Amino acid sequence: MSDYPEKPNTRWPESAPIPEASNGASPHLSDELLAAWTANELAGDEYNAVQRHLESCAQCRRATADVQHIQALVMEANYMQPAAPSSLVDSVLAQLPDRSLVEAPLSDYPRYEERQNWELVSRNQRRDIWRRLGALAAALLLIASSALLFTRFSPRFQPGKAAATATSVSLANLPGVWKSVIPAGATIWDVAVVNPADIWVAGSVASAGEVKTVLAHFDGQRWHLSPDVFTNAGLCSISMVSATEGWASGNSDDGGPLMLHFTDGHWRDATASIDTGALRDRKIILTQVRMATATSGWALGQGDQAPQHSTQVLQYIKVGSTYRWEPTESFEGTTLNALSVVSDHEAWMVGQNGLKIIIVRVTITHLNNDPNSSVTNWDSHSWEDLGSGNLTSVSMRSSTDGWAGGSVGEGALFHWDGVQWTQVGFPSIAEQPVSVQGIVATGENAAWVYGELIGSQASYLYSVAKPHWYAYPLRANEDVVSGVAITPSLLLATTRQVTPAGYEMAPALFDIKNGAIIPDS
Amino acid sequence: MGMSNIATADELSQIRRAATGDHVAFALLVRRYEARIVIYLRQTVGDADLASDLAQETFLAAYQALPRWQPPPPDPAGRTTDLLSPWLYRIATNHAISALRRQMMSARRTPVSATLASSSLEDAVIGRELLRAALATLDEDDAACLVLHYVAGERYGEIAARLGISSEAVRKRVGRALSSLRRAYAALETEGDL
Repeated sequence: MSDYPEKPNTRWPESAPIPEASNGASPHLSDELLAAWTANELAGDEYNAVQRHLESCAQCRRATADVQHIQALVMEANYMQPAAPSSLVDSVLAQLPDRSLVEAPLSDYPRYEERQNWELVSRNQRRDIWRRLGALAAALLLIASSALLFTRFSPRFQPGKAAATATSVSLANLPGVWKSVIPAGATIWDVAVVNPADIWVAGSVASAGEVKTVLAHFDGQRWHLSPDVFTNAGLCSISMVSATEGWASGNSDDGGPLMLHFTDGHWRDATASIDTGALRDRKIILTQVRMATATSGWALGQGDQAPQHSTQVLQYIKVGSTYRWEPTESFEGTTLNALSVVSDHEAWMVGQNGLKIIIVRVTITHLNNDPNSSVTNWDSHSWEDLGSGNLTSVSMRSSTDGWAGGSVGEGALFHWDGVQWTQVGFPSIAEQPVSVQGIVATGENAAWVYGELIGSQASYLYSVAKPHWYAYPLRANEDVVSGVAITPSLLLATTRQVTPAGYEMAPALFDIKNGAIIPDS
Repeated sequence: MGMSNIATADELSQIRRAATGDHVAFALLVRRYEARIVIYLRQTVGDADLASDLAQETFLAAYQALPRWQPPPPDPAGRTTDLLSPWLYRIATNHAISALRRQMMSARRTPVSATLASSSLEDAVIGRELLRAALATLDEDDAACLVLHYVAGERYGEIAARLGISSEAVRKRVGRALSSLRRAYAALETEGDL
């Protein structure tokens, strides 16, 4: 609003008299002065000059009365102030033309490159996972803290299978009957979906000074608490191969790993299937387990010998005549926070190497198609030029489509298109920096993203279908702990609500089109 | 860096993102400004539905024009003005004046009925008529000052901050707005008995 020419000085000189007619100007008050006078915007000498003029000029007194009358009429024009307007955001967004997101390409992902130097050690690196999971003895403390486990899930959604069971599914019951089944105060860290009528959750609960595992199953109609409870132990992760087989991982009270195996309708302690003799560090927490098939899977084990942190990668593999959890690579000074399995010959892991983000891809090739002779390639890449950062989540749909997220200064998202990782522009919320804590890839270039607004108690849930973003309402003091896609358009999230007594966890369903479609129970 | 500077930097980054097609960044800008723009447009056109339509037009036009938007120079007085505020008011005023002119072209003028039951309602109709006539003759900057001062009742200093101009400029413009209102009032007076 600066293009209108302004006179250099519109104020009268100090002590100036009202202009007389001698210079050709009106001897009466200008509209500017009348307006300023009636608006009580005059001061000092100017005010006094106008007042003196009005005392002696009947025409200008009439003019001020006219101005006040006009002002009253115009004010009256707005006598009906309607209620506060409703938001235009949705209708405006619906009309926006598309413009593709501007993306900053990263350097090409180096496929099959030489293994990098894993021994890069930083003593200052962030320790999210183990600080939060810690030894199980700290589980009670966790409940009071703002602990978050960064996880991602492999729903292995099969549309045909889901359709077959859809008639017996009442997802409305999913949050609704939760409270009567899940013990109060339980922490649910992970969700596994076989199909919408076959969902498992895993976590832990502390009662009477004892920590024990929580496993619960949704059969399409209601939740059932598994009778298989393991005391002095907790679960961090669960992955189902089928309706009849799955794995759950965590740790036991003595600091060692815990691995449960679901077969024949029961969860059993299968920690013995871990080749503990080959573990570099026997005190590990199995923070994530992801199965590709019944005979192929991966798990991440976090060591906790401060200040030297390490991640031990375990592979479910045939050793001799039996399948075992075999320690493969041990990453010193590196945290691998999250794992995503594409197939029985491809898995991705993300985390922090030193202070840099790191992405690792594991590919398995069989020599001469002999399943017993395989070569495992570990490809990794850090982006030095991105500065310090940490990746907390990865979700791969295929070898050519996947997402990773975390922070590089602020919340950051990366998309893999089969050739390279590209940083994706990330919307801010309420002018606050955000962190990315979880990603659930749901379709070609589509994902759910959740995390928190840094520096506040607030969290967010987005879905992105490039280039569009959609935000979903979360309640105050609520955050998403884990999420899994039940169908390509439906996210089952476990949410945590901070209450005066601590917090409550509950499942919530978010529809990609409508946001929260089921009210909290 | 003070809080206001941080807020300004955040808005600037939202604007830059929105200018590249980031719809969520733009949604945040809409959310930031929509209430004041809608209320301003209601005051300008006196019709909530029309104001809502005009506000949508305003934001859509802003989205299209955003890549060409330039940040204003820092305010010498050190006031913190929301970056997009002057620009959005100008777009909104432009659309409102166009709409008012269209209304005047099509309906010409609704005669002020002597049968109106309530004198305050009658005054409201007259006041609306005055506004419409005056706004149609003003440029968008003067029109914005008219509405913000005479309808919204804002002080010159408030208007200056909102529109990113000096209080002196506001005073000039309110003066011109008053001239226009007085002419419109005189014209109505000669047509009917006010």
